[in-house]
This record gives sequence, structure tokens and C-alpha cells, in this order.
Amino acid sequence: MDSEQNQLVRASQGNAAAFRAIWGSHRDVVYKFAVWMTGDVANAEDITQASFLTLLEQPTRFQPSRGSLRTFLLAITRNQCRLQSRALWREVGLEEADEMSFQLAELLDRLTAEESMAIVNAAIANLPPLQREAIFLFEYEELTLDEAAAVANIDTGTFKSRFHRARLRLKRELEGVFKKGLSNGTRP
Amino acid sequence: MEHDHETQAFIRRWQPPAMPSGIDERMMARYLASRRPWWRRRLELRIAVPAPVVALVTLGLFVSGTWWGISSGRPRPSAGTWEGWIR
Repeated sequence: MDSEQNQLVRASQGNAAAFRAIWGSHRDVVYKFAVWMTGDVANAEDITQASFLTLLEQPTRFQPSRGSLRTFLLAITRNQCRLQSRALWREVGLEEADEMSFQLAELLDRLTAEESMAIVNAAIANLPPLQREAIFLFEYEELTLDEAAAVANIDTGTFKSRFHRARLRLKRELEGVFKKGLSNGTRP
Repeated sequence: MEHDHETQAFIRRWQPPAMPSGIDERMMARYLASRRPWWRRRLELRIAVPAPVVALVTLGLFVSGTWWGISSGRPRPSAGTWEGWIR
């Protein structure tokens, strides 16, 4: 059985089959993360390709004892997003949280897939980058807290509090987008 | 820390747009280009010249060529005549 590390070393030495295998296994998650973070397909493709090429530059930096290749690639992708993004990647505090006046589950039942996707798109676009990535890594991609913290390059405790703030902010954004839709007289 | 299933169910509705067509081929082309030996990359060095510069150089060559053609076709004044001294 070929380990990910061996495959990576061979790919960096010019073995196209080894590279194709790595690309095939991880391209979807890298692309998805890049789209989530940038909201732009063309930019996401560029980031995806740049992430894989960066991975090959120093294959020995990947240490399987510290995490999976997927986690390592997501960390590289995160750096690529930061390089291309003009948004400020800084910690954002949480203002006083209002009582949630609506239930997401009820809302979910009333919306079509396209409508809820549009709401999620608008809500995540309003999240600051650090909170956006926290939601993707832990809630969407279901990485463990340790893995998500490793990708975000922070300790687990800090990631936990960042994620907590991100989740509250996301709910508020979802509520805001939903109410805006109602006041415009359009569904939802 | 627990997952919030309500939020999770909601954001799971989000699906990324389909992969751009030809992304695999473009990636492989970039991979193969990046793995070429340095001396081959050096041999294949390309220089990008902005289009306005190319246009200006072409125009300059055309004007100087035309000028040279006109001036070389004009009969030279023969030595010993007063015209030669004046010019």
C-alpha cells in the first residue's frame, strides 16, 4: 500500500501517475474550500491549482504524524486564499447576541434547495474570513476540532471560541438575509 | 464541542458550483510544466512584449525604411556643380 507521503514524494519527483492520484483524491475538497472562501469560481480554480503546486515544492514538510494530507492541503489552500484576498483576516468579536427570533429548522422546511442555497451564499459572504473558514472546517467539512485548529494555525481552545462566535454570527446573518427577503416582498 | 445540527442542516444545502470543465487537463499541464528540468525551462524562455511597443517599433521601422528608400532613390548631385556645394 502506497502511503500518502510516498505518493507525494514521487509526485514531486515528476511521477505524473502519483500526482494524478493525489489530485483525484483531494481536488474536490480543496476546490470546495476555495469557492466557500472566495465566492468566485475562476479564482477558486486558480487557488486550487496553486495549492497543489505549492504542496509539491516542499513535500517533506508534510508529516503524517501531525495530520492527514487533506488537512495539510487545506492549510495550504487557506494560505493561498489569504494571499489572494484583499479582505482583512483578523479576529472579530461578537456584539451582543440578540435572541434568535426564528428557528432555522422551520425555515428549512419552507424553502426550496435553490432558495436556501441563495440564503446561505448571502450569509457566508457577510462573514469575516476567519469565521467563514471556521464554519466550513468544523460544521460543513466536519473536521475534528484539532484538525480544524491545525488548518487555521491556532490552538484548539482559540479555534473553539472563534467557532462559537462564527456560529452565532452565521445565525444572525441567516436571519438578516431571510428578513431582507421578506421586506423586499420576495420569497423566502 | 457539539455540532449544531440545525445550522449544519442549513449550510449543508450549500453545494459548490460544478468543477470548471477542463480543470484536470489544465492542472496536469501546469504540473508537467513545473516538473520540467531547469535547463529545458531556460531553453523555452519566453519574453512578453506589450502590443503598443510592438506597434511603435513596427511603425518606426516602416517610417525609417520609407525615408531611406526615398532618400536613396533621389539622384545625388554630381561633384563639381554648385548644387553640391550648397547642399
